[in-house]
Amino acid sequence: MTIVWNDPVNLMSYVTYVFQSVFGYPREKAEKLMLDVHHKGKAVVSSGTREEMERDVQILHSYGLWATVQPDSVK
Amino acid sequence: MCRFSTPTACGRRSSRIRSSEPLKSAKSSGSAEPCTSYESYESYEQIESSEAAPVTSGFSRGRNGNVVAVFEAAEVSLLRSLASMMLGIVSPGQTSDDPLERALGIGVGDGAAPSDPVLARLFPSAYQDDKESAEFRRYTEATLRDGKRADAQTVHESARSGRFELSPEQAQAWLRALNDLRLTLGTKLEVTEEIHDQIATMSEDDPRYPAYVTYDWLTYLQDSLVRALW
Repeated sequence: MTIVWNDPVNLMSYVTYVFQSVFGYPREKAEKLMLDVHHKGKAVVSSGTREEMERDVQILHSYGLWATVQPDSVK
Repeated sequence: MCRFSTPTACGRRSSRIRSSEPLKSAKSSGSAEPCTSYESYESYEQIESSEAAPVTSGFSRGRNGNVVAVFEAAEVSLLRSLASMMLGIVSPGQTSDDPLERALGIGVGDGAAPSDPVLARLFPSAYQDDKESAEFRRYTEATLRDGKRADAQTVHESARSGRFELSPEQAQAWLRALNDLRLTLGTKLEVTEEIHDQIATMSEDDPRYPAYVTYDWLTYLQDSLVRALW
């Protein structure tokens, strides 16, 4: 899974926009994920193979989001 | 996350940007890491003479996916200074001499997380496990560094005073570059989510004031660009 963590710098509008443009999510889904990050401190933004997650994290890092790969418990 | 919803939310953005020693407090956190060059902090001297960031500046939607930007000359020189600062902070990605590794963007070094807080924020660890994180870093950081440098370079080269257009690709580069600048200043200033309240109550004589106002202005610009792209 790809996890995005809350931080005090990234803008709510920007984070929503990045989720939409990187993952192609509709605005409502992107906004919900953004709010999850904001209120809960983190959110799972995508899931898939390790390679896919690493690619997502790399793109999110290029946009300055604090993202990590969380290996699934079931491998 | 930073809540920025209205153009007035960020306080005295239109205040004069001025300072005697910008980023003085932040500078003390510099590390001994050789790749972290703060030489371009001299460029902050230009901030002293920079006049206001008027609220009319910013971005709007153009034709064919382009974005229209409007800036004053002083703002352009500030943006260029900040882009140069970024190029000073983010050194080019280093790959090994091995042609295959170079072609794959595999970096040199042990993949340890940077000790400098700014670099650690710009290049976060991808895994909680240090070993996995180091491996990921070796495979990605050189590419990421070059990308951030290219974005800063795009801002430096395309910023003009008056009205100009950005292609969709340039607009994405500006978006990432503005965020890198906010992450850099935000980390140095140790900003919290209450940044706007802090600025609103901060004395203009506070030595940190110019850096905070610059950060605030970048926040405004970034939000303006996001809304132009949406």
